[in-house]
Amino acid sequence: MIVGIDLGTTNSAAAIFENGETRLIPNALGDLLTPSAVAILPDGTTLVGKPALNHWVLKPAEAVTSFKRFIGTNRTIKIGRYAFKAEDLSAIVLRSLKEDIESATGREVTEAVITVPAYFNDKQRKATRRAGELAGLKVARLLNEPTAAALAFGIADKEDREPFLVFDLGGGTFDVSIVEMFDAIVEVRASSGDNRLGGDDFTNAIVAHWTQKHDFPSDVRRNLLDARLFQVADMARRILTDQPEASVRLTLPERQFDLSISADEFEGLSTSLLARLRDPILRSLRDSNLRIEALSDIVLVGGATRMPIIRKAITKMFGRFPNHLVHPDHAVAIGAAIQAGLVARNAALDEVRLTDICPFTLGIEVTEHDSHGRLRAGLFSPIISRNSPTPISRTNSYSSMSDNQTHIKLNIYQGESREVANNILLGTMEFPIPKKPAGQVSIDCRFTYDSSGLLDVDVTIPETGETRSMLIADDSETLTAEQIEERREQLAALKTHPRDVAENQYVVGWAARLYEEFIDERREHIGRMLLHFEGVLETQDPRAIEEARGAMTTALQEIEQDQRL
Amino acid sequence: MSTTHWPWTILQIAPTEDRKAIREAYSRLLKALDHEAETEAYMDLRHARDAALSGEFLHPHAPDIDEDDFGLGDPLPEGSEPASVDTAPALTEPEEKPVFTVAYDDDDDRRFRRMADLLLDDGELTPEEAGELDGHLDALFADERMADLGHYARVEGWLAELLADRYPRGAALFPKVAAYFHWADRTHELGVHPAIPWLFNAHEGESLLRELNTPGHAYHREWIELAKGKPQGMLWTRGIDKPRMGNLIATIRRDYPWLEQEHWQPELVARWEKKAAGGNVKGPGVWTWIGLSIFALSMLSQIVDDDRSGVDHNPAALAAVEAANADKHIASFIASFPNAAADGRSLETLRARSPKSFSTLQRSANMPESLTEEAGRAMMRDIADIYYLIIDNLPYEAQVADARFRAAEIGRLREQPQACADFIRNPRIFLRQSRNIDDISPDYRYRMFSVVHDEYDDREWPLVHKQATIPGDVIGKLIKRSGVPEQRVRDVLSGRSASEADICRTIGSFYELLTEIPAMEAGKILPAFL
Repeated sequence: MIVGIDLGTTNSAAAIFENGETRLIPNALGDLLTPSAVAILPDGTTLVGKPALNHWVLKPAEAVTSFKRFIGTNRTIKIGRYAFKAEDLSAIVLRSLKEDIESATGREVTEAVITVPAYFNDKQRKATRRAGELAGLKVARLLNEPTAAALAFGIADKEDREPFLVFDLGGGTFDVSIVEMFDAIVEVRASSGDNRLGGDDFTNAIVAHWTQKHDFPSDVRRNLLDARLFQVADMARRILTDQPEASVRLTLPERQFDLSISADEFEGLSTSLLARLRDPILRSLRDSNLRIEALSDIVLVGGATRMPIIRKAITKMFGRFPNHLVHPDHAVAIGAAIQAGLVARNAALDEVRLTDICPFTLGIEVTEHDSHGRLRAGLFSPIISRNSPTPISRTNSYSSMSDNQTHIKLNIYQGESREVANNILLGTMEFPIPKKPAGQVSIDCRFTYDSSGLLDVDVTIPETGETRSMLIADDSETLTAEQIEERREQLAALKTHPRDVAENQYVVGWAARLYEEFIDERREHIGRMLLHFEGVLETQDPRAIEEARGAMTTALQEIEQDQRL
Repeated sequence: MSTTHWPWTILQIAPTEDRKAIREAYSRLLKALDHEAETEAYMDLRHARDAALSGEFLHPHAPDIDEDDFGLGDPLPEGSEPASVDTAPALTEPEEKPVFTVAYDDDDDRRFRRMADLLLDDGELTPEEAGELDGHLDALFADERMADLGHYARVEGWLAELLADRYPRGAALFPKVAAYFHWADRTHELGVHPAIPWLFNAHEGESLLRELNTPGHAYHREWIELAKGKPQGMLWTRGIDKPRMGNLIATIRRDYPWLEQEHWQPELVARWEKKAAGGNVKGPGVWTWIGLSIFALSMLSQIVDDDRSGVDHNPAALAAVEAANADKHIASFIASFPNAAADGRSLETLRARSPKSFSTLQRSANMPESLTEEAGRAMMRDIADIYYLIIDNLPYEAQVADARFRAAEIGRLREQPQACADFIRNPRIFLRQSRNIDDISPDYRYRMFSVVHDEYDDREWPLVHKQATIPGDVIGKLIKRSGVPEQRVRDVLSGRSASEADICRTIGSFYELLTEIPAMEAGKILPAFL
């Protein structure tokens, strides 16, 4: 079975397409959204989702969140005794989602469509695809998140739509796409974004504000302070969605702080972040040559668009209210499920087609003679321009620079700047060429950008007739099939709780966290409840356990409300 | 003369500003493609659609949009200062002001403006205006600033746009301008102004239209028939040759699709196509025929009285002479087949066994005695027509034998993919056109004649329902035999768009295979193809 998965910075979700409609699949805890968090206990048990988030607040050294920001890099993240790259952690989350779907539907999940931010570069995309393979999934397609949301928005009624703008502000990334629909063909016209702008940045703004205002103790372990501060700041940010003021309590070992922030203060803190929203939108408008009046809708995607400051900024920028028809947390997973249906050639989607675009220019580094005959190195020669419809294949010819040159080194860049120093290096390719006078050896460089946004580079030397295919020559990322299989097995060997136990363990973990966060008589109360619940668990009576769990959940929820003063 | 009229030929519509029509054409073609697998085809289609929508292939550039913010407001709340943006990448490169390498004065300005005014008006150019424009052009071309490349390129682009904007207003000037700038050699260059190839197409189109509308042209009558219905002054359209009409329709369809859509009457074309395919077309009604025949009879008496050639104009005698001529033609036609006499096929046997085909042959052989070759060809065309009509209903051995012949023909036509594909798609139509029937081997021709002679009797010939699926192993053998990759073979078999060479090779191999498959299976698969 093929499924659609939204692998987000903060939350992930999975959905399937069957019987002509999409359906989000709940996880073991019954939630539609699974937080993208992984924790590994000292005994090797792996927690994913809400339990991992709980554990992160308790013991930040043994857990990690928001690792999507590091995917595509070599950065290793230490969790307890283990060290993982971001793609391994994503693979753990994907595997957990895979098991949730298999248990909920009773069918085996073999393939998936996984979403990525539209502005993800080639390395990040390849790493995401590897994460899927490490989880035992065949990644049929990588789908851009705003395109997925556009699919979810447009396919609902299959009406023609004049160009509309998808504003996707997630936990860690910001994407803008302008999409139109005609005759059940969903066509992306332009895409832009910022890979370093998301809800987390707004939370960090609050953290910075409090750090400045209060004197937090320096003897507390750094990561514990950071984790707890981030958690309460995030909570405060969410409270500000509905209320003009948020007050929370930060509990550290032996100390407590009462922190508060008002909506106005928050607005003041966020001005520089809000200002960064404008450029990607302007670029997309310019690329599709549309004025804001020509847009038929503004579609909001991503939990962070619930923030009133974002809603206000959008209203100010576009002069109208945005559209609330799609569920900001679910739209991307629903779109991924629709694309999964398209890949599986589901009959209900017979008339539907989706065409996407490449959101940035791809090319290589060249040296050119300027108008005075001098050589200028480090210039960017674009081969595929941005907003080209995908799939696309383009070839350019280049020639050697100096006499008797033996090798050509091809640096592949992505970006818009004339100078490669301002662009992103995707990879390098070096190969020998026949020795000839300068300019007499020419090479044909072909870039193929497929609908998943993955780049293939082929270089042909017409003289010798040989062709080389590009493998990104970044050693840590070239994994052979055996290596991938090996690592997949390693990840699969991580222990997890059996499913029937997971819910109970989650409640226990939650209680444990709150136990740490409170002092005084509430802590004792939680301790007593926990003891009682563990006793019920020992009886192994399913009905009693379920009842006790329900009561415990309600009680813990009430107590958590109290954390906000 | 097969010039392309890109992007309209790719979209398969006439040049239009109607965005909806362009998008509908794109939608239709996109859904017929697997755009993710067929990258090249998708790129071509998308490129053509974007070009069509941009309007540049109809009109020159729209004025540039001046605003740089498209109305987008400021996201910051009132009163806040725009804080320094930390990681904002440089989006716009600094614009360069255009620098002219030559100097222009007021006279030049006035001249350019005058020329633009003259060319951008509606309607036809008057002789004075044309003369004035001519003078301006001469002055421009003789100017020594033309040696400067920048000026040359600017004037070239500007003239191309002007001429294209209100074409055919500037049509008379086009040859002169094209000659000066050597556009004829450069029209296919990359980087040439898009209006230039467009102008060539339009010019050719205009001259073609003019030629077709001139009474002396070879296809004038057929053209008028299609464009207006009847040539003026004629009561009915006699003397319009079906093959010529078919030829005209096919040529225009293939090379000048925009002519088709702007100037044809589609109902008339449909009627002619039906006629060419041998169907029955509702002609003039009963009362029209009665009126016409009364008129004809009254005219006939005049003709009969006007006795100049010395021949007896008695209608019955005329008919008898014509019948005798026809019989002579038929006899010599049959005699042209060396094996006919040995197999016992002659005029009498034909008349006895297949009266229907005999009367058909009589009609087409109804020509003066001298035109033996023409008569022979016309008769052979009719034989082929009947043959392909009845082949579907004959027993499978006949069909398999026919397949063998077809395979041989396809093998011989392999060098001409277009002809080969036409023959495969619809052999009846193909053989009715021009002299294609002459290219068929004598053995096949005799075969057709024998089959018609033996089988075409008076029974009812039902239409065969053309539906059959090709089993997988046959497809496998087909792929191996023809050497065409699987996807393209499937395209050919399912009727999706495929290149002529592919159709040729696939179907040719299919017919070869047919003779090797056991009879039962062949009988099931054949109807899909004949």
